[in-house]
Amino acid sequence: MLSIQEATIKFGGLTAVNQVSFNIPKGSIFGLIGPNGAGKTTLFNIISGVYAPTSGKIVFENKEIQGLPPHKINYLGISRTYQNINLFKKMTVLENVMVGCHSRTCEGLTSAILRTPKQRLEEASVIEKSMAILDFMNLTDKATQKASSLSYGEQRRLEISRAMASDPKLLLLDEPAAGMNGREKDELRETIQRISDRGITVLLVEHDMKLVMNVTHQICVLNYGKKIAEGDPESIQNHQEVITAYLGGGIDG
Amino acid sequence: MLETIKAKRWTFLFAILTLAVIAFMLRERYLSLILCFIAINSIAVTGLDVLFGYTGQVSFGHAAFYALGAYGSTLLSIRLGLPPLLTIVLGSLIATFFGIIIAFPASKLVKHFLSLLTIAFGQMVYMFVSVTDKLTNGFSGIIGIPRISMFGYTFKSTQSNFYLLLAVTILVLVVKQRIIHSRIGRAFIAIRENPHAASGMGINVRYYKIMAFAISAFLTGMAGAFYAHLVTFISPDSFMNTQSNLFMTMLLFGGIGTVTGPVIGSIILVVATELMQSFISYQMLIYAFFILAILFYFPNGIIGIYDHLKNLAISRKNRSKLTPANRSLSNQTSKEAD
Repeated sequence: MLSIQEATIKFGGLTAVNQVSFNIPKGSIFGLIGPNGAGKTTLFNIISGVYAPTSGKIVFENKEIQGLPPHKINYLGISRTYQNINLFKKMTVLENVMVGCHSRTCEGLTSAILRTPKQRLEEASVIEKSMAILDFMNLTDKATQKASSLSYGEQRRLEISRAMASDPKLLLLDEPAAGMNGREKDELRETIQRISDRGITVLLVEHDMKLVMNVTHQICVLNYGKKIAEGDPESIQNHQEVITAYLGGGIDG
Repeated sequence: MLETIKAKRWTFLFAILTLAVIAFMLRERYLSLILCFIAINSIAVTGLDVLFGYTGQVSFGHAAFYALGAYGSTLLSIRLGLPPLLTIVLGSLIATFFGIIIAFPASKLVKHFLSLLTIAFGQMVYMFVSVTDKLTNGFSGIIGIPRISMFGYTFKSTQSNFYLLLAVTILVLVVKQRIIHSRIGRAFIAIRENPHAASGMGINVRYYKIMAFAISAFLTGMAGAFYAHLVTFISPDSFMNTQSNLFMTMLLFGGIGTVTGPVIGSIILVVATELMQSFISYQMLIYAFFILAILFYFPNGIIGIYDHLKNLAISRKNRSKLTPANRSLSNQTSKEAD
């Protein structure tokens, strides 16, 4: 579904991502891990269009997407969440998700001013769809609250809800478990599973090894911008170079 | 429920009171003129609000669009003899055109860089209308601008102009409300709140920033055109930097990002300006204090003060009246009242 081919990005003299290649099969939950500063989030930003790679290709459904602006990539079916929560704080929870529907709706300025029947129909369907997503993410009772009033874990869930609103084929989750407590992490694992059950491919960047090992089908490990290992969770846990990269310590989270 | 009924009663009372004041003011020509200025400023500041209040793009040069609308409509009606009603639309479109042009560089800038650009743009238009003697008659200004007429009826009296302007203002507010509560309005607010996330959610940030500039320039240009045909005389003096600052003061005072904020800001500042006629040279100094007070103590303007008092009253009521058992019930009702 998504194939990264020798993606490289340089910031001045620093090569943040160096000749990284991997394939994400359709319908899988793919993990991307590595120590701090390994280039995971940078790679995320390349896929979602924030940065254009210096060289290399990103192929999504047989289409080269490297260098496209973020809004076009969202339109093609790749949606993301952010490591440092990037919600629309003064909007309500429901409105946040409604913004997420943007690339799947089309009514313009004139129809909004005239309130044409078609526009009203679209608005109603946007609200219905957003409420369904909030229900799916267990946030229904918070719908009318301001996004900034949510707890940390809830804000993370809202980020995922908003990303889901654009009907993505591929969902990029950037450290969704950061700052969550144990129970919330268990819920998150279940949620990722349910998202995958809906036929959405998931790319997960995460530091929490327990979560990554439990939920993903395949893992790619980065260190200093280079891929050092790829495989199923079990083989990664026993991979010598991976263990060394994590300071020789055992991978027990 | 009780709170909603009470709130409705207050709104009703307030509407009656407003109508009474308007009826009283319409008896006299000078007071009617003040009402007209309030309406015109409401339209212009609503335009500024679409830009600053909703997409977060600051502009200290909105007098430029005001001038483009005024001069555009005036010159078209005088030189080409077109009916004012048509030239007002054309004048607004001229302002829109320049709004789009300036939006291309402006949409790449934020904060102080954008402020500088808009100040420069305001100054450019001011200089242009001041020095082009042949076209705009320079500092002497243009007199004898035709009044608005419609179906053979000419809006001669100030009172009749006010009825027209009131209708236009209400129309503008309805249109703004509809834009804000649509897919486009959500895109605007998303850009203000977090442009990176907005882009990630499929919003073409540049496109919507330019669209906001266009809508804003159209509304402010239209206000300028109505101004020209109301007072029948324009000169560069009306479109100085001070005017831009005045629009910004009105917006900040009323409350940004709201429908009624620009109207409230216009009412207060137009009335204040009239009251301060005797010491006009201190006008901007006094406004500067106004702005400082607002920014420090009530960043959400008069509307913000109202919301704050309402929330205070509700929470106090909950605390004093209720036992913990039915507190959850009251929370529900207060939410409905919101």
